[in-house]
Amino acid sequence: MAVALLVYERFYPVKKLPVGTWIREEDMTGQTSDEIAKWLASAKQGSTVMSETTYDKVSVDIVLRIAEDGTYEQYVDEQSYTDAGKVAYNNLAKAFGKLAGTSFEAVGMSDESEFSAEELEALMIEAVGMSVEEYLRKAVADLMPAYEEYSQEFKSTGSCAVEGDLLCFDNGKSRTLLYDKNRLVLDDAVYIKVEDVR
Amino acid sequence: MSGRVLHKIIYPMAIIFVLLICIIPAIRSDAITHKVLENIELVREDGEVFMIKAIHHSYGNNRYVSLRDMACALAGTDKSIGVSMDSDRTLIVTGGNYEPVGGEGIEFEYKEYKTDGITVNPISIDERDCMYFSFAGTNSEGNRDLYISITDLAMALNLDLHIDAAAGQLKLGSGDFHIDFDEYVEQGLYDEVYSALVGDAVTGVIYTSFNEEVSVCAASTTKLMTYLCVMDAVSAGEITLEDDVVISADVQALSKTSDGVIRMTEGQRVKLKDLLYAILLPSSNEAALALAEHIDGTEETFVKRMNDKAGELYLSENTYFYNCHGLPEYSDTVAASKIQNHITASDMFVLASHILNKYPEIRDITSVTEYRLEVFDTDIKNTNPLLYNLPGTIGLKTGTTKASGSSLVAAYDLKDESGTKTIVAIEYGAEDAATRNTVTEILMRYGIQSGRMSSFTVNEESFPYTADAIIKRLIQIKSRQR
Repeated sequence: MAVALLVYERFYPVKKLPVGTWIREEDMTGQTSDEIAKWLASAKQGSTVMSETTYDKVSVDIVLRIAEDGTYEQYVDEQSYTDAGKVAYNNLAKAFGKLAGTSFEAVGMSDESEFSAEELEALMIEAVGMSVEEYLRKAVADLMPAYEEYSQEFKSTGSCAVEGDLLCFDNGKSRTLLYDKNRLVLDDAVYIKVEDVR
Repeated sequence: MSGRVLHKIIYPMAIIFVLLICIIPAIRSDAITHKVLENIELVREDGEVFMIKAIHHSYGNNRYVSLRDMACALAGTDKSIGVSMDSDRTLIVTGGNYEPVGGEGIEFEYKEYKTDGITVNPISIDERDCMYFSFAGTNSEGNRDLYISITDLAMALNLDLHIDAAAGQLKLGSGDFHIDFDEYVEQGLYDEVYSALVGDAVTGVIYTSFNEEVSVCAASTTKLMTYLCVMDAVSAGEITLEDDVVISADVQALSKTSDGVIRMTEGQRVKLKDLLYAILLPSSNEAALALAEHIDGTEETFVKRMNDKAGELYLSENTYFYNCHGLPEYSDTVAASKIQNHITASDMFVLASHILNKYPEIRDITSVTEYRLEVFDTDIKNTNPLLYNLPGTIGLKTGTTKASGSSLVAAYDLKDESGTKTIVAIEYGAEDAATRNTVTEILMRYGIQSGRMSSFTVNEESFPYTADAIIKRLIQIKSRQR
């Protein structure tokens, strides 16, 4: 009997509460690219530049902490949000540099569609008295939503429990079968385990 | 010589000779009988009234007014002019005093009036040669008179002149010529053309445009793209301005057709730089072909270069080229149809701006009125009227085919404390050269007027939030650094 139970547990282990810290990536590349496209649209070469520019991935970490007592907390990792903002503005700066080069070339003021970042920085100081990054953060302030507003969208707390094979959150509001020691799939999002909570 | 010979050869020849003598004067004379004549009152600001004879050319209200009558009306004002004219030339001196010769202010009493037909009668204003279309005739006293478009005259002499339609009078104010552009458009200015655009080549600011995205026949304005491709090839080191271009059999053949401008002979060697003058001043089609062949071997390959360049400049799909000169040609199909190079006014603005910024030397070429081509033993003349009528104009290019109408692209460097604006005026599709000249001069003057009023400075308070605004500001700064 004991052997049978051991064999059963080997293949059908009793599910445990996935205590620890889990992280999933929220991809904001599409959202920020749409904002860049919207801003570029007013310039004649804007749409061409948009289609010819490749953008780095803009992602934010969403953290899910599950405690041993069955409570959980979800929030946006602020550092990753700050880093995502930098990548987004770098993408915008890349498009802006290309737009400036293309525009200069179109009016016959440059032979190259890309010109040096130093030259662009110098022109920007003369034009608006600030660097490219400062200018873009002012001109396209809505490239990323405000952190407070964005984090509110993901912020949640509550309780979770294992019911049979299912992991249930908030009395069944969300539930999943798909989780193990390293991965957890919840509402079509994949969370990765990053550390254990003792 | 027998009587039979006299009957069969000499008499018929004599009859033909007599007939020719009778016909030749009729062929040589361009006389036109005008049937719509008008005696219109001109009322000066001081209340004095003058009678002005006017011919309505082709259409109602297209007034060409007597220069002598106008000179009388202007006498005693700060716009007074001295006028002297003979069959060769009419001299106008602003600020001069007009001495009446007889016949001024006397109404047309007849129902028909004969002139030599509309043509560019040589006129100089303050010793500057002008290119205005006019009619030459004689007045009731038998004195020669010129009839000039009322709009051309107002622009040429800087007159504050307008028509009070309700009163049926011309009103002469004491101010300067000024364009109320909205009113001009309301009055049908754009009905005269297929498309038009005026803007600043430096900042890309458009002051006015009409049908600017409509694809129209480019005609010889095509040669601006030809020029750009040649200059880019020079920049890239493919060729040099001092290259000897060898005239081919095809070029010779084209030069001897009705579309030929300069007679060229196979084997002749011409400096590349001279051919640039040839394409831009008298619009030599054979020179364009010679350049295309010199650079790419065949016109076909060169045309691909032109279309590639259009792509590089992000010109629209409505702009495309079949040949390097802009002449119409028949497509190579059973159901033959004419094909022509096409362009939009908007794309021409980009092209012209690009050239003016990248190759400012085009100003030197298209601003000369005459250029000596030693190799062809000929002096070529610039056919751009604005060059003569509006001092400071950069000629750029004219273009005319039956389908395209009369077209013109010109520029003007406007300098002020904020830097230099380069006003570009583009007009496509006027029904004749006279209309083209007048409309384009109005457009250019409107561009200058708008450019003077737009006081853009880098330190202006408004922050350039949009991509378009910041790019325009950067371009203006960069243009100052050049």
